[in-house]
Amino acid sequence: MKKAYRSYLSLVAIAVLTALVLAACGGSDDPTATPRPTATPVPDAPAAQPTPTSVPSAPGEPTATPVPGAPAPAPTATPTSAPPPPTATPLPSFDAEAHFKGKTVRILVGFNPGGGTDTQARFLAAKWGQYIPGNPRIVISNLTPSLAANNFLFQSEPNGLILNYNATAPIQSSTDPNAIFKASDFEVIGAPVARNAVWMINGQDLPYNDITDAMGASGPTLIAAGSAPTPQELVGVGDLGNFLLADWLNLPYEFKLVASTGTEQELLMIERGDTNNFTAGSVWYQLPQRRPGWISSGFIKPFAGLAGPGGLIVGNAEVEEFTASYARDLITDEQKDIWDGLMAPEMFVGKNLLAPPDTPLDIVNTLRKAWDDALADPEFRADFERILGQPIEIQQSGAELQEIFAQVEDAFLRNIGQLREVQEGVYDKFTR
Amino acid sequence: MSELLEGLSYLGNGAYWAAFGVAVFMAVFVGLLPGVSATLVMALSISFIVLNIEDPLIGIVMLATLTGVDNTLDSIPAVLLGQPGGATQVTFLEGNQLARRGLAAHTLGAVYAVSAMGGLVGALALAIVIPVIKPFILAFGFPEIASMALFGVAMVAALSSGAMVKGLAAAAFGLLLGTIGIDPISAAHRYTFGSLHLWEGLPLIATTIGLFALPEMIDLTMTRRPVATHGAVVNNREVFRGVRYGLTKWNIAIRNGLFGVFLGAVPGIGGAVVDWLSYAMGIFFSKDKSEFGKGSLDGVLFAEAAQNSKEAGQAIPTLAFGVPGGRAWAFVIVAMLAYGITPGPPMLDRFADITIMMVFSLALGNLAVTVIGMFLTGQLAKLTLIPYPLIGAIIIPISFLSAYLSSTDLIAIFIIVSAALLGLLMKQYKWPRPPLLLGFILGRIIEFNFQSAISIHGMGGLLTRPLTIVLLVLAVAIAVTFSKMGKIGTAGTLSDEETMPVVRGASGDGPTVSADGAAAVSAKKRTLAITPASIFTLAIIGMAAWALLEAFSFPTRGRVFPVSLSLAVIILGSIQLVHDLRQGKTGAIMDIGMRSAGMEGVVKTALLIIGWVTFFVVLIFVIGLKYATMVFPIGPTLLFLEGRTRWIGLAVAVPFVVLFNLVVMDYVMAVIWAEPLIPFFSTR
Repeated sequence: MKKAYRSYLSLVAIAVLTALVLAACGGSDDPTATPRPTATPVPDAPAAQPTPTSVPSAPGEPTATPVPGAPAPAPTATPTSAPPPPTATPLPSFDAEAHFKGKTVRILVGFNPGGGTDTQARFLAAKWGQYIPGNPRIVISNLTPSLAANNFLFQSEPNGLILNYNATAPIQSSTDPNAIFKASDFEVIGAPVARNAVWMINGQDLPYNDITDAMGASGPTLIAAGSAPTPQELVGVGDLGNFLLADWLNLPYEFKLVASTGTEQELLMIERGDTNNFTAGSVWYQLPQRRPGWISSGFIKPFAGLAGPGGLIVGNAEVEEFTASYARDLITDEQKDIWDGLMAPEMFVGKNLLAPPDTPLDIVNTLRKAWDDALADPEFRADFERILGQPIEIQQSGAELQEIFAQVEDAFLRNIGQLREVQEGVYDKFTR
Repeated sequence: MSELLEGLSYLGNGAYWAAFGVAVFMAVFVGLLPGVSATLVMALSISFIVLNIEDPLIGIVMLATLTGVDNTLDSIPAVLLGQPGGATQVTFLEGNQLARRGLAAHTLGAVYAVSAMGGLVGALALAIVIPVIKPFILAFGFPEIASMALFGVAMVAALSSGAMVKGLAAAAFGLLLGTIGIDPISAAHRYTFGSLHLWEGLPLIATTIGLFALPEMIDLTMTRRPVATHGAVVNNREVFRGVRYGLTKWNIAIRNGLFGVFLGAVPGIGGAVVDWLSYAMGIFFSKDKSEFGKGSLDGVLFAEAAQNSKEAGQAIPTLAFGVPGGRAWAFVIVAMLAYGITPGPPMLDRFADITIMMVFSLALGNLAVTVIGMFLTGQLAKLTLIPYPLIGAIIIPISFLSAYLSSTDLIAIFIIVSAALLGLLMKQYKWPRPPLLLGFILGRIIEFNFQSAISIHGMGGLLTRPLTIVLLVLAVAIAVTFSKMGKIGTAGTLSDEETMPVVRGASGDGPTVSADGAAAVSAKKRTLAITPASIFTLAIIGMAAWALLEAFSFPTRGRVFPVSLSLAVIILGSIQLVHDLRQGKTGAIMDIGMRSAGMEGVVKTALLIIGWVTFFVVLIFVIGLKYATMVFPIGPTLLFLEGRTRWIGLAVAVPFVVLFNLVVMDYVMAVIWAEPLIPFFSTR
């Protein structure tokens, strides 16, 4: 037994030695994600004080009254001329080529392989590297849920070798107790699309042609379905925005709680007759391809446009123009304040590429330029739009988006208490 | 018609054949390499395919072929190495026991034949039903999917044969484990312990490996022997004998193949339950049920026929109206959208060339993979002749890596170890594990669909849906029939020994049987006594009681299932506890027994392996998973192999795991490694 004991100890010693040798041979050569020593939660950190950007009003937006505390306009129009003040520190004599050459850039994705966000990130991994000086290899690392990916990014070494491709701006999720980041602390590299949404109805079941037809109507009822938001989720686009409109505009509306797994299930539910309306962002543009004839036959009708101030929704392959009313045009100024506070964090950008906080300015600018250069390349742009399933909407640079991030977040965090009260009130009223 | 002819013209297109060849090669690779799934390979390759293959037909058909034919060879790790994947649990349960009897080559040969026939049935069904399938799929709403999942619960009655109370309690416990995560109906965080990585529930792969595979790997390592017995016939001839046997089972291929198509075509059923449901159906229709659970080749074939055909089934809603039938088929939709191809009616009209070539490629791909498998298996099956410590030295660390991939967090290590402990104790105290696993897989499907059904239709509305009622009645009838069928897999041991080379000197390659056998169950005087078995039962009751208390903090709709299931475990566990305290005996159960039991020096061997695994787990936290897995092979090879073999084993195992880490985990998957306690070993 003694002999066995000694042998065992020898084995352990061999194992430790082997580990040391292996680590020494292949260890810390990947500089992509060294965590920072401290990861302080920053929910109450003061927001940046940006200069408001001027964005032309969208059609249907004649009176974009400035609202105290409201977030910035949605960035769907032309770029603003004045570049914003830098948010990060420049490196002395920075050589971008040397910094990235032979390195691996890791893009985090907070979703499992196979979804839209993951596929788009993999497109970037395949095609975007050539626009970065030194043409680094880009790899995708799935780290779920997305909150974990943002937490990880927040703690990562700010060297430009680790980025996160988000589905939405991580502003609402930053209020989750598990979040250790503040969204506007991240460096925005770029974003291809906004997240304006279209509320669509079953035109064969419901007699309404537009949201205005249903205002004050006693029926038939709009029946929607979806998962319950967690207490931290002030879900904007799909559910809560509809609740608010139903409440403010006196729409006959009912929401049923189901274990929804996403767009396909929503389409299936409306086809089965479980529901008679749904709200979607990019699916509006993809619908003619996913469900050809649904819109042209009148089975599905656009009911309302859900967008922030200046948000613009255009037609798709089956309708030349988007003609439904913008919901924001139908509500009072006071309601707009709440609407913008709730909707803007979800809508002002959709997919977005972020770098860790405090990434040196030269590195951030290099990556932003690579983003802009890629989108300026017609071939890359066309391929990206193919993968996105919709046109690229956002024209602003990463630096400009950085400012808007801060404005939106600032307004959101200042009003979060009130927003939660509103949410709870309407949620209980319409949910079955 | 012209579109069909246009499609068939691709048979003369070199680019098509090149893409087809690559897809088949990747499917073979995915099947053979544990820890790599078709979903992952598709995720890695989809943007490359869409951007570099200009012809949509070739790109889409390539992806469809990859996902449609990867299920044939994934039975190899399950049978040969004792490592089940997400959809090969039945194959593992029955097939690995056959491999232990030296029948690996024969088993895999039969699996290939039936898988290929199942795949052909699927492809044919795909071609026939696409035009008419839509109303059928739309008829399956939330209530019908929940009812279909209840068929799986009926299966518990069969899997619990020999220990009905334990089986039912295990199933309820599995269903309870399925409630872990965020409840989408009430938004409650149920039993997540504040971990983000439990929001989507316990990861299936980590749980399955821990519960099922790790205990077997440890057990087999302890034997110091090969998986197969001496005298096992492992060569191509035996594979072809298996193929011939499989071909005689064409009726299983057709019946279970069609069932697989049906299950695959209903969105929401999920690929992980298909093999169980098909296995249940096979048992239901079998006259002789004595073999199931202890190494039944027909049992393997029931599952495998449906596994392959379900892919074609999943292609049906994908093509018919753009609803991905399964996770891998979501990639096909993404590719179709990127190519500008419209799912739905155009697939029978404008894009009929894609549909016909998809059908053709699925059929041909299944045959190609089968033929490759047949020729590879003669050699691969020789793995069962290698002393298992060498296999375990490689497979155990790779299992931990696979588990880690499911959450990219060290909580996966906690889950796999906890599940392994539970699995070992269940084996030790004769609690059948299959009902627990089935309950776990079915739990979320049943609860989510049932709750959604209540929301949409109301309780009263459910009872007005004829299809729901029919399915519910059928599920109940099957459960009753199974429970009345008596002892499935509990008889005929003697005839096994007569016909198959059974390992002798061990207490069981077949079902676990109590020391004095089921027949010794006696109602004679029994005194009450606290035994280790009763303590284990008490622990299960304790966990359920804690879950019950915790459940009262959930919102009303979020607590219905956890409360009901906790109570079920407590009640059934209490009945079992009384039985244990009275020292009642358990009959033969449907599970794999401990092969190392009764071996000379088993206690010392057990201490050695448990000590090494414990050291490994500690090492994971101290120096990180990457390096811990690299040093793990040192233990099993040096501790459990002898003479020159140990050094050869070491020379093979360590480089294999190192290369797997560097190439697959680091380079291909770009895994984010958790930080170790000692910063020197940081990989970041």
